Amino acid sequence: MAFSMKTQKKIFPYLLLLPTLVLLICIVIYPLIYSANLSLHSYDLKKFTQGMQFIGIQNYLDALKDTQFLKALKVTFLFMLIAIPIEFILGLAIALLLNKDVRGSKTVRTLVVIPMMVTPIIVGLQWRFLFNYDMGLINQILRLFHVSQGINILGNYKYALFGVALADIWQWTPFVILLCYSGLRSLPVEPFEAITIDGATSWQTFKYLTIPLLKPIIVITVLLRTMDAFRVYDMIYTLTFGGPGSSTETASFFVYRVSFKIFQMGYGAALSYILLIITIIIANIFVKSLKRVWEGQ
Amino acid sequence: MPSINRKRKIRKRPSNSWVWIGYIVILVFFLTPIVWTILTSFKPQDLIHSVKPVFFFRPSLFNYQDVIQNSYILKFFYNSIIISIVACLIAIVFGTLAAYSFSRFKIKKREDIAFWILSTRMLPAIASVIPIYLIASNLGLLDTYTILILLYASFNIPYVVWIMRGFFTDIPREIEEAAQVDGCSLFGVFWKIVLPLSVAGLVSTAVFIFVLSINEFIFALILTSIKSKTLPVAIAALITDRGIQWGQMCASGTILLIPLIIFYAFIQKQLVRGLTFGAIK
Repeated sequence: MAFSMKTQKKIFPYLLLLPTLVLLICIVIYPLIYSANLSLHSYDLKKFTQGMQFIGIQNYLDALKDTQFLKALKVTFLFMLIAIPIEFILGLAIALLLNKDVRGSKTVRTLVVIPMMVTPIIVGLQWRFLFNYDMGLINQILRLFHVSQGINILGNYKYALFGVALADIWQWTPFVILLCYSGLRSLPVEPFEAITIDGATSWQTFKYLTIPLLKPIIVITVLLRTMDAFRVYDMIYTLTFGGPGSSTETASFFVYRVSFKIFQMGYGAALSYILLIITIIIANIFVKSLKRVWEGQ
Repeated sequence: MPSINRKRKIRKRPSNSWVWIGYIVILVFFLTPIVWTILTSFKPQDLIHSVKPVFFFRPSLFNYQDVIQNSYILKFFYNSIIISIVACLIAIVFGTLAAYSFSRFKIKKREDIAFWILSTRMLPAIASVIPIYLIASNLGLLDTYTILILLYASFNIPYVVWIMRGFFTDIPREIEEAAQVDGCSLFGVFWKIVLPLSVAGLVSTAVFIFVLSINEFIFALILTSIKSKTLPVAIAALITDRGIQWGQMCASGTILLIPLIIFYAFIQKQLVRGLTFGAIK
């Protein structure tokens, strides 16, 4: 062998990392640098002969005054504000219910996770079909029981976002269920025995024991959901395409439209950088809490 | 660690019938959309457009014939599978090597590099799709398998690194040290001892990232047009100006759904590990 064992031991770990680092730098980091540069330029693909023109931070200044962009951000946060709390409360409640020693709970647990596996664009189409005014299952059932002549949730700009949130709740509550359930299973037994002997009610046990012990898992769950909900795109593409009007147009969707329908690449890059910064802030909080969990093991 | 189950033996058993009612409501809510899609895919056209819900009917394969013959769904499905398999293999090979490095060796700034790799997975897709579109078009890589394979491989590496790192850390080091004493090279230890011990974890990680690649939409939508279009993009294209062919949509949706549900059965136990980057087991 060419190298001594000692040199080998020094180089080997870095050699193992090399392929991953090279690939990530080429495919993830380089494009982001490219895009940072792009965001300082005006670049309209429709007039590509003009090429890129340097305009400094003008794109960013425009973005902060762009009412459509600010509205898209508002829609995104509103969507997160409706969907995430419901997903979390519903998910935790179902996890507690599944944690009961009842026959059939294992089957329910297996089946309830399936929505998470469904391709997001199929989720969008599926709910679009269910909400359909004429032949959607929801309206068919409402008519069958003479509750209403039918409601057009996705066609009404006031309610459409709730329809989108419902589809998201359907797909991602199982995520919360799954994580909370694993959390509940990994809790130590002794404190629960002690508190039961001390005569605590189940609500007290839940409030003073279950919730504090589950806290690290709750934090991870909520942060992962927040990051994913913030960049929601696929499902909206097939469910409402941002409509009616722009009532369900989220930030990601607006950036897509600016870049690939209006072809303002420079402006799109600046907008996406703003989204990136917001995500980095959330991701940082997430990584910090993840580090704590890993170190706790 | 003893499981929480024991606690329940002390407590009074909950009243089963209420729990069961809860279970039924939960299942109806979470399964109806999927069951309805699959059911509709076998309905003849006139029943799909019925004003009343139809639960019983004579199944027809018309919608399936239609999407296979007229929308070339199977060709796009083939694209999806090839792209995802190759991307998955690259991610597994690269990611496993890195994970092994993180789990066994002292590297300068190890945790910083590991968390940096993790953070690349949290970027919003829309932020990288704009530059990647322009770069790919300069390199002539638009509408090729290559670009999607490279992208999906690098998006999935963070999952592999973090999940496999957890598995490797669980393997006792003594076995490897013994092999080294017996004259096994560093790579030999990894290849002959560590890897065979983690096959189960590798397989479930591979299936997990395969599903993520199959489901990917935004990059495939923007970077492909005809030759390497993937199934989700082809299905989304069933939305036309004249409306949506619901029968076709349900049939092609079912074609995509069934393998995903089968895969889910395989990785069920490892799913939590995957979804939380190994933080929760």
